[in-house]
Amino acid sequence: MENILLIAIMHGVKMNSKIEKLIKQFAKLPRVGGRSAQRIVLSLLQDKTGRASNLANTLNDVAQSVCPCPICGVLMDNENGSCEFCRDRSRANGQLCIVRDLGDVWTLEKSGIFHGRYHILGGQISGVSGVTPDDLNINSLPKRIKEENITEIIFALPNTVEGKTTQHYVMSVLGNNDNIIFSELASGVPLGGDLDYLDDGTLSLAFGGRKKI
Amino acid sequence: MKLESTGILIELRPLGEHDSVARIFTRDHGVMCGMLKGAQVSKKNKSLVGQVGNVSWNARVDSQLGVFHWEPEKNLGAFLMMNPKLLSVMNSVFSLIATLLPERENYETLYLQTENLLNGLINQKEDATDIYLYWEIGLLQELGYALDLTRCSGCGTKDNLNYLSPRTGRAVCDNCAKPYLDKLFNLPITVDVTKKFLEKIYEHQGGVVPLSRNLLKL
Repeated sequence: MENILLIAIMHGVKMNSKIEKLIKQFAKLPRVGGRSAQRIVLSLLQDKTGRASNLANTLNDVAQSVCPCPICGVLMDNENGSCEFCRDRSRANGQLCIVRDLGDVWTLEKSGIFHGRYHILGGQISGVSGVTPDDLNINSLPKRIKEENITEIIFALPNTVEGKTTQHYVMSVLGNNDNIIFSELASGVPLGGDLDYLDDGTLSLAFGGRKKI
Repeated sequence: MKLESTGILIELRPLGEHDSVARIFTRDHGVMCGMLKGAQVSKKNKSLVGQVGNVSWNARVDSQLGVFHWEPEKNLGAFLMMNPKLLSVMNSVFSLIATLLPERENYETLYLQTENLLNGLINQKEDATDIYLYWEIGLLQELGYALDLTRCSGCGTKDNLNYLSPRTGRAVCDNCAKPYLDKLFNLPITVDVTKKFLEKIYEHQGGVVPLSRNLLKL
C-alpha cells in the first residue's frame, strides 16, 4: 500500500494539499530530502497507534516550553529559570568551556570528559556569512566570569579560520587576566590515524604541540 | 569548458549539507567561484581556507557556476591560525580579495604578492605590518589607485614630501600642502591611510569595508 502511494506521489499524482504542505515542511529539515519527507509523512499517516498525534503534541509542547538558558545558552525548560548545567552546583568547579552551538555541548556531554560549565556563543565570526561579534553571546562573558569565579576558560571551537578568529576575538574582549587560565583543545594526529593521511598543516600543529613523555 | 591553474582557497560558503561554494584566487584566471563537492563532509584532504594547491574548474558553459577539483598542496593557513595578529592579516587579505576583485580577471602580480605575503608571515623575517602594507599598496595599484610617493603632485620636487593627496594618491611637499593641511594625509603611509583609500573604493562600489579589515590587529 505504502509503495503504491509513494509511486503515485513520485509520478506527480495530485494529492491532498494538507499532506503536500506537510511533506514540504518535513523536506526543509536537515538531512531530509523530498523523498524521505514523503516516506515519513506516509509512515505517520498510516500508523494506527496515534504516532502522528503524539508527535504533534510533543512538538507543540517542546516549541512552547523550551528556550535558551539566559546564562549559558543551552536549551532548557522555561519553568526552571536556568538550565541543568547552571543549576548543578557540582559543575561550579571554575572551568568554563566555550563552544559554538548546542550540538557541541551534546558531543562533549556524550563523551563525559568535561564536568564544568558551558557557554554557547551561538556561532562564529565569519565575514562570509556576515556573522559579527554583536551576533554572538560574548558580551555576557565578563560578568559571568566574575560572578561564577571562573579560573579556567577552555575554548572548544572548530579548528578552522573562523573558529580561531572567534577565539582570538573573545580573548581580546576578556583581556589579560592573571587569575584565569586560557586553554584550547589540542590538535594533531587523530586516534588510530596514520601519518600518511595527515596534511602538512595538521602535522605541523601536531609537532608544535608535542609533549614530553 | 575547463580551466586549470594554481591558487589559494580564500573563501568557503556552505551549500546544503555536504557541498560548499568556494572562491579561489588563481594565478592565471584571478578570482574564480565554483562548487566543491563534499567539502563539508570529506575526512581526507579536507578543503580549508588558506590552502594553496592545484585547481581545475569544469563547466558545460562559461556562465555556469561550475565544479572545482581541488588538490591542496600546502596549508599555509594552519601555520597562521595560532597567532592572532597573523590570522587577522590573513583574514583581511582574503576578504579584500573576495570583495574587491572581479571574477576571472587575471591579477598575476597580486597573486604572487599574496603568496609572498603568506610565506613572509610564516617565515617572520620581516615585520607583519610592513608585509601587509606593501601588499595593500599593491592591491590599490591593481584597482587603479597607484600611490606615487616619488615626487610632489604640485611642483614636482622630490624633497620634503610629508603629505599624501587623498584624491590623486600622490605625494605633496610641505610648501604645496600648506593651504590643504586639513585635507591631506600625513606620510609615512600607514594601514590607516590605505584604509581611507579602500573606504573610497567600497563607497564607489556601493559596499562597506569588510569586518575582517576592520578587525585587523597590527
